[in-house]
Amino acid sequence: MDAQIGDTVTITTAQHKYHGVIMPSRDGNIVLKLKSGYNIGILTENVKSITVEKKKEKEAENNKSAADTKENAIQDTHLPQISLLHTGGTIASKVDYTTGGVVAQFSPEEIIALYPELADVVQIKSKLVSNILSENLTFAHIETIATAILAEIEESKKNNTQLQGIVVTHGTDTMAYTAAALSFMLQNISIPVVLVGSQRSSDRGSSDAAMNMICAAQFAGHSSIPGVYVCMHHVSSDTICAILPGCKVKKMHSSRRDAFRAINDTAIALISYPERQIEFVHEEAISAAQKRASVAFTAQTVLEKKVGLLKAYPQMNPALLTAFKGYKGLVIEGTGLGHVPIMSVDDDSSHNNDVKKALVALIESGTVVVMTTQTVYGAVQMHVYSCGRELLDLGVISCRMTPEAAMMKLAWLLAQEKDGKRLSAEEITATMQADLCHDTFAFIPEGAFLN
Amino acid sequence: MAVDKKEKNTRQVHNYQALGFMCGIEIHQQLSTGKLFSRTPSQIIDEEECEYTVQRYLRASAGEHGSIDLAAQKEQDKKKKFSYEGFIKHISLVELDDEPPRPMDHNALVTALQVAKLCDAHVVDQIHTMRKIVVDGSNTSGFQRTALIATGGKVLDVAVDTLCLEEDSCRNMGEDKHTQTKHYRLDRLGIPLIEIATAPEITSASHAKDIAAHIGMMLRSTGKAKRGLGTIRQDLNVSIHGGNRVEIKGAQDLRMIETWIDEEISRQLALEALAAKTRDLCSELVFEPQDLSTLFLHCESKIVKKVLEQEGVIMGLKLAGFAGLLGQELQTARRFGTELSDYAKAASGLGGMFHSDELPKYGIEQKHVDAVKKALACNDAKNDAFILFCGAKHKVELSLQAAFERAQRAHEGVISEVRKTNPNGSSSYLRPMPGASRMYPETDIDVKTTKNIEFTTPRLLTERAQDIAALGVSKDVALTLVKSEYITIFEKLQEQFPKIKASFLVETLIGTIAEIEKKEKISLSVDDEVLLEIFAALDANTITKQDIPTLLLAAHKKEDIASVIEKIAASHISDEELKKIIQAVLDEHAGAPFGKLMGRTMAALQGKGTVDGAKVKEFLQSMSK
Repeated sequence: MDAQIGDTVTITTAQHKYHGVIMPSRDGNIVLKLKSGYNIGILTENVKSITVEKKKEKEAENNKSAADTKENAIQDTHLPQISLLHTGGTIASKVDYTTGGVVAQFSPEEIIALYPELADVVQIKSKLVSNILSENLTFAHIETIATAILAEIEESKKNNTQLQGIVVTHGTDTMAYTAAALSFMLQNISIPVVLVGSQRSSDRGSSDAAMNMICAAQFAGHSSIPGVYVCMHHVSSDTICAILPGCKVKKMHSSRRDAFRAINDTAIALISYPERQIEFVHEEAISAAQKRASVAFTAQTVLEKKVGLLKAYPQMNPALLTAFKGYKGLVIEGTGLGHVPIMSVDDDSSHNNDVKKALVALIESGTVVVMTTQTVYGAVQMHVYSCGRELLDLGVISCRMTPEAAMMKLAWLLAQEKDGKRLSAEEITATMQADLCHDTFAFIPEGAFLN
Repeated sequence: MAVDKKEKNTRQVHNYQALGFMCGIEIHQQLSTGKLFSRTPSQIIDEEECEYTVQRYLRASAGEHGSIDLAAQKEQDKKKKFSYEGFIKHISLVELDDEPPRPMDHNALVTALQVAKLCDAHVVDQIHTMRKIVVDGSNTSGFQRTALIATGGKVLDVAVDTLCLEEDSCRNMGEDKHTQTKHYRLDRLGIPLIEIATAPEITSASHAKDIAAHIGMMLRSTGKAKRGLGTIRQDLNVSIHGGNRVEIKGAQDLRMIETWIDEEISRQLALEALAAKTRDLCSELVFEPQDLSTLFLHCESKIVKKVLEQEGVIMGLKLAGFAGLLGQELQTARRFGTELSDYAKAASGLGGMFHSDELPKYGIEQKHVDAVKKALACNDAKNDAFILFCGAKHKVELSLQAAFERAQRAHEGVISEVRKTNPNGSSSYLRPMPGASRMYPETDIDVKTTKNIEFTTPRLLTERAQDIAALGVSKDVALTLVKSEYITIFEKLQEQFPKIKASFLVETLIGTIAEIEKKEKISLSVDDEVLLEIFAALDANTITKQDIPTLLLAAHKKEDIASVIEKIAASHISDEELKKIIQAVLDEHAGAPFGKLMGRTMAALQGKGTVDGAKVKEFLQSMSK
């Protein structure tokens, strides 16, 4: 008899007999869940016989009923209204027992069912925008998110509801890129847009998802601070969340809860948990955001897809630069103050001539090349060393921004036209260097290093 | 293997067979390898002050089947905050749940495979690490990682059901009632534990003790078992005919195992008797709690006074027909009322229930009792009882509810539950028996195929004691050695220095060290490397046997052992010089008796350096011939 996943079976091997339920397997061997709850693996080559004791029963649809109840739950109409846009990521994911990995699976309703405390914070309207883990994100996804945000604003206007803010669930891997892109696309937005994620999947008891989500909803619903922000743990403890500026944020740790930091700057606000008290800590940035919001709101939500990012390094392969031929723009993470190995000073550095040749060819072919730094903290300053000066002479644009923000700004800028024409080189340089939405490192406060 | 059936226990209070006694034990042994899923050392830190703390909350989460575990939900209802104590150099991000786990520690895995072999269990083809949901905060992740390594073995005459390898939890550092924060220390979290669960085939309390002792010995035979208080923990699963399976946690003291089991049997018997008496009462119980605070305004009870001052309440509940039952003794110093109180405490954190079978007492007078009875309409003729709780209102209500629900189940007799041991041999209710849905796969760890893992099977300590006895060491001393922490270094020394007699090695490691400890009133701590250095010097004749106590003490004081050895060696009289001195004595006292010659020689050696008396005797004997 053919045993299927979910069947209760007895498996006989050369040495032993096992009773249990067949579970999905990734490597072709048998995974058996024993009565004790443990899973074990049995190599197919060792199996003598499999006897099916009981066929799989139809599953009770637990999850669905939980979501249904929540949808019907009455929301407190005195609370501010927010929209929750779901795009995927760890914050809304659970274990997939077929692949063994963590995948996004929850519907927006299930997210609300997961965090019942949200009902005390805001009224929620939720929508599924996309369902991918953010490592697989493309520019098209970012455009879709921006369009979905605009649709929410449009819809609230049409229905004459007071939309206070928008929360976007997002995977953390590329959240900094989306946050930066949205910052440029929606720079005159009049409500808060808060991207939120989690570093520990929401199917585990210790997940940071609930706290991040509740704090994000608090800021979106109650702060009235316009702009695009990221809300994540400020420290490893479940005590404070930080509201970080969308185009200066960077994921600075692969696994810690407090991985997200404002580079060369501070958070905009801190939110205590579980009290949910908002403390505004960056008055200057907040008043600038309010000033931007006073301008009539127009959004430009298209990104130029042919924009890339490249890191400079010793013995750099010139073909990397050549590979970007045909691209509209390239952001380089230079070494130190903004350098690429292009100068040949002795026999050992003659290779650098090839790097220079490739760079010159790239710029001459029409690719806009922008320089940032790979040091993470600090900014480029290309007039200090001869290498930097030569790069400027070659037409490289120096840009005091995080590489993530610089790339998204360039992609956003190069997709624009003015009076039906492409922007001029001067316009591109001026805009890349201008502070549009708290995106450039105008001055770097002393305390902003490794904060 | 023959079963050790000697009846050490004269206080056999139960006829186990007639009672349908069933018992299985679970043993958890910490290993001294690295932590199971991080490369952090398995070290308990005794410092009073930690270097940092991290605060966290845990939420109940849906398991593999989408349903939330009952035990997990109970903990979340309590809304506890957890504070974790850390140390910069000893705690990694894995323990902080700020980094995914690393692959399983290889030494820990090999040790588990060795133990599986020792108890003749079948190792699984592929090890799947699982997450066992734990929401009391003792694991930062909200679950304990555990893996089934082998099934179906045997220890003496009892079958072994499972052998698992799992991570230990945080150390409980107490609870701050005001902030509702549970404190834990991260040092113990992640230390590997081998868990061995036997089948319920144990036939008596003393049998349980023998099995536990044998498993302990087996685990120590690997040389990787941690030593000291708290490094081995036993859980006892006990039931009798008509009773129910109860898990008693935290039996750390082997000598108390029989008492805990016997006390549990008594408890189950008493609960069965109680069930018979309450068969018709339970369904009649009504939950109508009342706020009785005003009746206690002039009460002298300290607890009552304090609660009322803090704007708490005193609430009571009638338990119709329960008079006399609440005071029914179940175990040493524990009554049925204590069980209700335990359930209340587990639900709300608020203990200290008063009940009518024990009042008036604790400053609560007869007039209060009468007033309460009147208010709750308790009828003495109908044997009505009442219970009281005092404290913050929401907690009192939770407590009353939990105590009421327990009373309602009195007719069920023994409830399957998890209890914790008390030092006097009794046990207290801890939590409901967790369901099977509390495990799901740990997807951060790859499946491990076992067939190509190489390891050797260690000989049992008892077998090694026989080997050592065969070398001319007394049986008792050999047994002492194998049970001591010196067995591993003994075997190493024996292998490296075959010239040195085994009996002398044992004498040094057991006798000499004990003597020094007694004389100096210290607990001697000498690293294995230092012992190797000392015996290497002895092997090379650089030092004599007489120098060993001096060296051990120097090692304990962390002196540089190489330079101490050098100093001692320098002070020794060389063989050549010794011969010269003996010759001079022989020349002067030709024909004198041996005793006199020996005395003269020793006198002549005085002040010239150290020398082994046995050597002097040997030289003198051969030279005087």
